Amino acid sequence: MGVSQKGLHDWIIQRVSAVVLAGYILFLTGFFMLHASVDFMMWQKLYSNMFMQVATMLTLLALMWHAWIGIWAVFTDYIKCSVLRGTLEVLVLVALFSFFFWGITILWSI
Amino acid sequence: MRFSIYRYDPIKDRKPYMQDYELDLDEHPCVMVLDALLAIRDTQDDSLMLRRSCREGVCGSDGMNINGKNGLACVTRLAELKGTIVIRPLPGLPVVRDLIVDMTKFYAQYEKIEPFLQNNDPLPVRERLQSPEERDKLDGLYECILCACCTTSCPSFWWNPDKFLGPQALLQAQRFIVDSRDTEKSKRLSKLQDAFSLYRCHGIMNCVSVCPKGLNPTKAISSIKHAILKEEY
Repeated sequence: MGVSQKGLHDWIIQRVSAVVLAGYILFLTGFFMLHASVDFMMWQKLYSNMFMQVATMLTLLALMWHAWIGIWAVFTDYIKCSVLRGTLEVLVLVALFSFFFWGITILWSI
Repeated sequence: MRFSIYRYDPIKDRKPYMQDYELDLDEHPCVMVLDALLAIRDTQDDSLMLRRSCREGVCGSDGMNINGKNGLACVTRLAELKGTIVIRPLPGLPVVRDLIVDMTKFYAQYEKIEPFLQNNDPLPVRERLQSPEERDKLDGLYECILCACCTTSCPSFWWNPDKFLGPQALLQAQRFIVDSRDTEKSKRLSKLQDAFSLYRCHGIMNCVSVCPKGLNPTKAISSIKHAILKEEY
């Protein structure tokens, strides 16, 4: 991904990831509306489904990528000290990768 | 009517301050904000500095922040304003003195979009013709008067005035991108794909709400983004 096209690629990724997130949220909303009381067994059954696991993994990826693009934009707007900005960016990236792999670990241990 | 006006003379003031003025509108029948400012300057304080020229919303000289909203003083009616009228210079640009700002950064961004027709086709015998439909595409774009009200109301420009082109320059970029006589559309679009020039616009539409000519830079910016998408994929 060239620097000269970073804006275009980020713009596309933000929109595609937003659609993925919206689809997942709509699905879960529908699930909760159809099942008034959700117990552990039902929850485990839902997430044991391969389709649901792949969809959740994709949603996690979309969430992290979407968040990174947004946070990067906020940092470049408000933090003018490059050392501080770089440090914060590394911390955020470590946090996002950790959240992603933590989520994957939980998902595949069901 | 009470006015609170931003004052700053870098030669004698250590920092800017707000100065209050009372203007009797029975004695000075003013319709627009500019009339009132000129009356204050003529009758109370001739050190008050501001730019103005045509006094009818054509030249774009008297852009300023009026009660928190950017606009042209010459077309902003006093009757539409309530309470003390607070006048400040356009935000986001260095103040030269009082209500006069240094527009260098604003013009530098305008220059970057190469605001002139570029055509590499052989010169025609008489002129480059345009159909009425092709000409219609320029409506809503060419009318910009470079008053800077839109660009200086945009937070993305405040934070990145050297990198983000701003709504005015992008509106003008679209004016040349859609011009049927311009052959450099691809070059123009390829220059806007970095993270800042165009894509730092998040569509908050401050520019649309302040444009004294009723133009819609956000729509133009959106059109450019879709044109790039079409061009690249």
